[in-house]
Parts: sequence; structure tokens; C-alpha cells
Amino acid sequence: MTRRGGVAVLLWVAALAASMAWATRSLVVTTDLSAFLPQAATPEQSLLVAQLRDGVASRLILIGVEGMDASALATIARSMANELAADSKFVFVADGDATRLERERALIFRWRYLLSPAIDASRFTPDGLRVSLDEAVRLVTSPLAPLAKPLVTADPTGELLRLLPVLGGDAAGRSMREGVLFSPDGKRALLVVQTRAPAFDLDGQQAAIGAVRAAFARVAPSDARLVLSSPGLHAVESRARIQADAQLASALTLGGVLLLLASTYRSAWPTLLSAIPALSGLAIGVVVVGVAFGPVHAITLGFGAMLIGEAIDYPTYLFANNAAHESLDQTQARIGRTLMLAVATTACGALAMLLSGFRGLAQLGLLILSGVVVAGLVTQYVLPALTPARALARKRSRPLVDVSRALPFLRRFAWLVGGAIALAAIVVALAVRKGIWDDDLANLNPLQSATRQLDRELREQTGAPDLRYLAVVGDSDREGAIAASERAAAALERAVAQGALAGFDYAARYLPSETTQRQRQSALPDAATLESTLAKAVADLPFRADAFAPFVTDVERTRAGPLLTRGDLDGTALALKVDSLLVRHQGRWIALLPLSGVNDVDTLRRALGDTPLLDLKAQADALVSGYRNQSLRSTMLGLACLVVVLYLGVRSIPVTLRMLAPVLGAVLMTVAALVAFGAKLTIFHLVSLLLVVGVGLNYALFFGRPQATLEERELTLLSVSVAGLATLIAAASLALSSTPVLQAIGMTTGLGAVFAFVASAALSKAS
Amino acid sequence: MKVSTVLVAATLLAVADSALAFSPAELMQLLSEVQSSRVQFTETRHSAMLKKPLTLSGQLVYRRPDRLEKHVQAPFVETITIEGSRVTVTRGDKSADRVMTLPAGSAAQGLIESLRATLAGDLPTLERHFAVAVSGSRSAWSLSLSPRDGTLPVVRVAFEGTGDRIQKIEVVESGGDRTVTTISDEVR
Repeated sequence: MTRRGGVAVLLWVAALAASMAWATRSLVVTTDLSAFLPQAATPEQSLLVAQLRDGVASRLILIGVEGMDASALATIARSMANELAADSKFVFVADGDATRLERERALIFRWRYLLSPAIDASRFTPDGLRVSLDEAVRLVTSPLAPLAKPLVTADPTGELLRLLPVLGGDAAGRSMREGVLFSPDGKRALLVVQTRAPAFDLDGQQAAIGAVRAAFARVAPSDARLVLSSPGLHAVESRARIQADAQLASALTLGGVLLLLASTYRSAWPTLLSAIPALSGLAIGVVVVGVAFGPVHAITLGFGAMLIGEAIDYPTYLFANNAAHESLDQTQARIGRTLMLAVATTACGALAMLLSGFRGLAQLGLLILSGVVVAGLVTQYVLPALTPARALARKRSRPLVDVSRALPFLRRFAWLVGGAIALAAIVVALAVRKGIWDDDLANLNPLQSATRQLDRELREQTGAPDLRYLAVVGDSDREGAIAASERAAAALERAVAQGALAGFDYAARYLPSETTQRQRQSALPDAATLESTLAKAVADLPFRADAFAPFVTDVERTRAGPLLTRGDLDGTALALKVDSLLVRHQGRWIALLPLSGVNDVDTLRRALGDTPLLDLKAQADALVSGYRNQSLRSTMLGLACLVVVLYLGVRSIPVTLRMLAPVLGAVLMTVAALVAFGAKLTIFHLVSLLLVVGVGLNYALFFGRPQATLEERELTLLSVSVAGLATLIAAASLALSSTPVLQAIGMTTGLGAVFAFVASAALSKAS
Repeated sequence: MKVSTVLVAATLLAVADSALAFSPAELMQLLSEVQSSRVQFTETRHSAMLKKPLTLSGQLVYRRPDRLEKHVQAPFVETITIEGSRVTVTRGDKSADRVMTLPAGSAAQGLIESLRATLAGDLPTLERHFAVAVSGSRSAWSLSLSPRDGTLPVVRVAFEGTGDRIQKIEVVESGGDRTVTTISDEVR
């Protein structure tokens, strides 16, 4: 071991030890999926991201029970509702049965004269009362009279009945059977529950979903089926799928690469030694990410596969280039410069990821960048010192093909590669004109389209907000925001009447503004006035004037009493409603009005006037495309950095161009192939393309090195082939995944690696 | 010989007596054979809320298995249709129709079943909501229902009838209010 080697090994051991120490004490792994949501640029976008993380609708679990006849389904749904209502993991259970909400009903009854929009002075004139009392005659003679009577004496104007639909939310478009919410075809009984845990608390969501499944298992016979949809469920499933996919990809990559190396070296030493730089890079890289970002995302860790696939290249270049009768130090001296250049270009390739606005992707970029640098340094300085002198026995396999013929053979097809690149350029140009980018945030979503279809159906059938349209008003204080929601609600009422939407919800429905409450209070007559008005109103009705004493008492109590405050709602589902519709966001109070069944956006916008209508889908799409433009810029920056590094390495403009040409050609061919497969490009493809440039330049660099002997050429082809295959194994492992994000990265790097290899070989200059 | 004659006579009498006593099952069997009916009713409501008893008249329609219509003709016009758990209130103007659902197991459902399950001859449903007692004979029976559900503010629902026809219904509420409905002959 040389003196320099000794120092390098010491430093390496110290760095690993420090990383381990830090990791065991301070490494936090997070699974918050919103790390893979773009960082919002506008207030609307930040509201969108906040809503996705913890909005009202994102806490709802929509439950369907199917597979039996309607009455059996209704029984199951009711039993489930009873079990879940008793479970503290849920704050709210709705199966369409208003009797479930006794506390809420009592609260609404207590405050009915401040809550009811029908309250104005005309309601308490003799004529106004007369209309209400006519109705009351019918109620007390109906088959339900014994039940209706106490209500009629206390509430002859019918405010409670008017307000009750408030409890079930907006009932428009929902169908009921046997007292349970049902799909219109009667094949699916429906339940809506709201979790106590916010949507981003995936462990809490997982527990809530487990409770729903357990309740179903307890009450349902075996031929009933349970279907579920909720943002929390989707997040939980995505998390599980991404983690499983990434772990599988890492395992496949590690196994495949070790097998490749073992069959190449036919010796344990170099195979095992090759893993050292990659694993060092992974260990130290994770710590760098942890120090820079705080919590490390589980998905970032899962991408160890990518890093292994890239970092394994460096020991491969070193070992596979080791000629007979040459010490590893001599090999290192011969190819070291090229190796360092390759490390620098790959690191530049990760720059686009690092600079992207997705926190998750930025972490991944930093992991690859720091991991690759560490792996390169370990290969350059530590590996020669660690490798025993006789470890690289000359047992390695011959190149698969005869190098003296293979490269010239490939070079003869340079024109074909050139033609393919030209064709690819045309395909890409046409695709760009037609729109090559996919700006739909939903497509970045790891959900299958069947899951999304089920979600849409359940949302429609339960009347749950469709998470797309929100009217948004705000003010500096809470009271102002409530008042603003009342004004917006009045406009929306008109739009509902015009058929532009089915319904909406808003905070002031449950907690009217103080102004509105005072107006209603002042419309209430005092006890003496009300009694004499009642006497006039019942003159030619069968009622006795004193039959309505509870009514007079309640009106008087409300007239002279306090206003309804947020504190009065505590402990009821209404508190939760208000808190979710009235949120504090960036120092302001925002009132949200979620809209359902929107079918005429233009009329809706006209009705709303100046009130902003937030189209969450449009916002999300704008977010993605804005963010993609930003990524396009950082990709360009990464590319520029790559070119500069390359030029500094080779110090020749023609050589730089000759190296870049096949790699950029490979990028074109990769994009053309993706387009030909019918893929629309996302941000994840984009950043992967820069990785392709970084990796592809490695091939070009090694193919392009001046090579004196046939043996050297053979070794070069062997090392680049093995490195290329290692990258391909990593990419294929990711491409097999069912997670769109992983798949996009795997497909792009895999195709890119193959094209870069072929183009670099074919376009390399014969020496 | 004399002793045995007495014994035989006693046995015969006992058998005849048990055959004459009308059981709830027999009454229900009888009622369940009615496929549909349309009758004229007069309903008088006695209530502390009212200055004097209020009388309603109109038609009651029943169709197996679970459709019940109450057409009030005077002093106002209103039709209440109950089918399954769905209640529709109609007042001539279609757009003013109101629809509501009877929550399963609710007091309201029990109240409706007192009439509907009786018309249907559905003893299990009646017994789920009420303690059922029948007295009299086939030609002049009375049926008394006492609610099992404590939340139902009703003391008793009593029916009187002959054969498969109901002639009188009386609902007595907890506070002393009561409603008496008399039913005249079948309307054709």
C-alpha cells in the first residue's frame, strides 16, 4: 500500500464511520408523499397543495358495499356505520341516516332562529305565521302526528326541518334505499366517514382504513364485497407500492450486477471489491441528503438501485481496464483522468434533479450526485490500496465478440446510426409540435386508472365534493371570511338555480356571520308581540293560541340571548365542518366553498363575478407545466455544466463535440422511442434524460480515449460493455415497476444507455 | 256412563271454545288474503293543541305488499303515499311534492307499521314493534298494539273489525291526545 493509498483508506474509513454514527443518531425517514408534489409558486397553488395534504375532502373515506341484494346491503352498511361511529378514529359517519346525528340535531334546534336563512321580520307577522300554521295543521293530522306534535308546538315555522338537510351535507343527486345511501342502480350501499387523522398522516390513515376493513369483516357475510376510495387510502397504497417497487428494483439490481461482475471476473475478489464504491456512495450519500434536507424520503432511499447501477461503473472501468502484467496503480494512472471526468459528467447529470422543485426529486438528485462522487473517489484512491496484488487473476472472460472486428464492424454502420439520429430528430420535432408534454398531475399519480374510475363513481354517488372546483374567498380576520362566504354563497345559489352546478357547501351555513345573526335576531319579535300575533294568526285555525308556548319561549330566548359562536359547535360534526371550510392560510382567513356536480363553468364564473373560482385541476396542471419549464431550464444548466466539464477534461473543442454528438443523438433516439411507445413526457423523463447524457458521456469518453494496443481496445470494450450492462440492469429493474415515476426513470435511462452505447461505439473514431 | 257423557261433553265444549277464540295468527291470516282495498275514512283528532276536535275525511288505499295511500279530501286536499320506506306528500301541484325516507328502526317506522303491517297481516313485523293482543271472534274482533319502543309517544293503537275488514282505528298518545278513525264500506 502506498503512503497516499494509506491516507485515502484512513479518510474513507473515517468518513464511513462518521456517516454511520450520524445516521444511527439523526437519520429520519419520512413517507410524506407531498414531497413529490411541486413546491407551489402562487398563493392558489400553495392552497392547493395544503388542501391535498390536509383538506376537508382529503379526510373522507368513501365506502361502498356491493354483491348482495339491496336489503342485505343496507343492513351491512347500517351495522358498519354503527361500529365506525363508535370508533374514535372517525369524527363523522354518514350513511344517510339523519337520526345518527342526535347531538348535531339538538344543536341546530337550539340555534334554529339564528341559523335559518328563512328568518326575517315577515316570518312573524300574522300572515307569515298563518302560512306556517296552515302547514302545521297538516303535520298534526298526518300519520306521523304523535312524533310531529312536540316539534310543531316548539317550531311551528318548521326551521328545524328546513335546516336538517344541512346535517347530511348537500343531498342533491343522492339516492336512498331502506334509509341508507345507495348508488342509483341499487347495487351499492354507500357510507362516508371522515377520519380524525389528516390525509398526510399515512400511519393514521392506514389505521383508519384497517378499522373500516375490520368492521366490514365483522358484519358482512362472505358474498358481500367492500370497495373503498380515499386520498389517504391512495397515499397508503402508493407508499406501499413505491417502497415495494424500489426495494425490489434495488435487490434485482444488486443481484444482477453482482452476477454480471462475477461472470466477467470469474473471481470473488474483484466482484466484491466492485461493490465497495457503490455501497460507500450510498451510505455517505444518504447522510449528505439527511444533513441537507432533514428527513430523507423513503422513496429516495428506494432509488439506491439507480445509484448502484451508476456507481458500479467506476470499479468496472478500473478492474476491467487492468491489463495483464499491470498493477492496479498503473491502470489507475493510465485511466484515472478519464475516470474522474466520467464521475464529473455523471454528477452534472444529476444536477437537473437536484435543482428541481420537487423536494423528493431534489433529494434523489443529491443522493446520486454525492453518491457518484464518493464512489468515484473511492474507486480512484481507495480501491487500488485495498485490492490485494494478485486479486485480479487473469481468469476473466474474453469479450463476447472479437474486438478487432467488432468495433470496425459497428463503425461501418455509423451512417445508419447517423440516419437513425436524423430520423429521431424529425420524430421528436413533430412530437414537440403536437405537444409532447404531459401536464396532468394525475398521471404522475401512482394510481391505476381503475382506482381513479372507482373514486369518481363513489364521489358522484355519495355527493362528496369532487375535489376539483372550489370558490375561494378570504379576509384578514375570521369574521370577515365568514361574511365573504355568505356573499359568495348567495351568488352560488343563483348558479344552482340556473343549473350550472348541483350544490356547494360553505362555513356560514353552520356558523353565520355575526352581522347575519344580528339581523336574524332583530327580526325576532318579543314574547308579548309574538303572543298577540299568534292569537291573530290562529283566529280561524283549529289551534288554540296557547298551544305554542314552547315556541314563544324559544324565540324570546334567542332574541335576548347570545350569538352562536364557534365554541358552541365543539364536540359535534359541525365544528369539524366549519374548521375544514374556514382555514388559516399564510396569515389570512380563507373560506372554501367546495362545489359539486359542476357542469357549466361559464355560467358559474359569471354568477361568481369577482369571486375567484379555483379549478384545482387547472391549478395542478399549471403547477406541473410551470415546474416542468423550470426543470427544462435546470436541465439546460446541467447540460451546459456537463459540456464545460467535458471541455476542461479534454481541452479540445473538436474532441468535445465528437464526444457529445453520439450522446445527444442517443437522447434524441430515446425521446423518439418513448414517443413511439405512446408515452407523453413528464418531468421525470426530462431529468432522466440528463442522467442519460451523463452516463452516455462515460461511454464516449472511454471509447474516445487514445488506445495504443489491441489489448487496450479489448479492455475498453469489455469495461464499457459491463458498465453499460450494469446501468441497463438497474434501469430495467426500475422500468418493471408499476409506479409511473419509477417506470419513467427506468425506461428513459435504460433506452438511453443502450442508444448511447451503440452510438458511442459506432461514432467513435478509429485510432 | 253418565260420567263419561259429561266428560265427552266437557271435552267437546273445550274444543269448541278454543276453536271460537280468535288468535292473532288467524286474524293475520285473514287480513293477509286481502290483495288491495280502497275505503272511505273519517278521522277525528282530539288534542290539547286544538280548540275543538278536528275531523278529516277521505280515502285510504292499501295495495300488497307495502303501499299505503291516505287521500285527505276535507278540510284540505293532500295525499300521503308510503311505499317501502319512502314517504311522498302530494298536494296537487307536482313540483311541490315532498319525499322523505323513514329511517329503519325509527319510531316513525314503527308508527307507520302499526297500520301497514296490520293491513298486510304481517305478524312478525307487528310483533317486532308492538305487543299484540287479539280478542273477540272472527265476526267481531279487536286488535290491540302496545309499543315496545319507549321513544314512541303512543300508549296504544286499537283496531276493531269483522272478518277481513277493519272498521275502526284508535290511536291513543302519551299526553292523552287521541285520534279515532272510522272506516265505511269499500269504495269501488
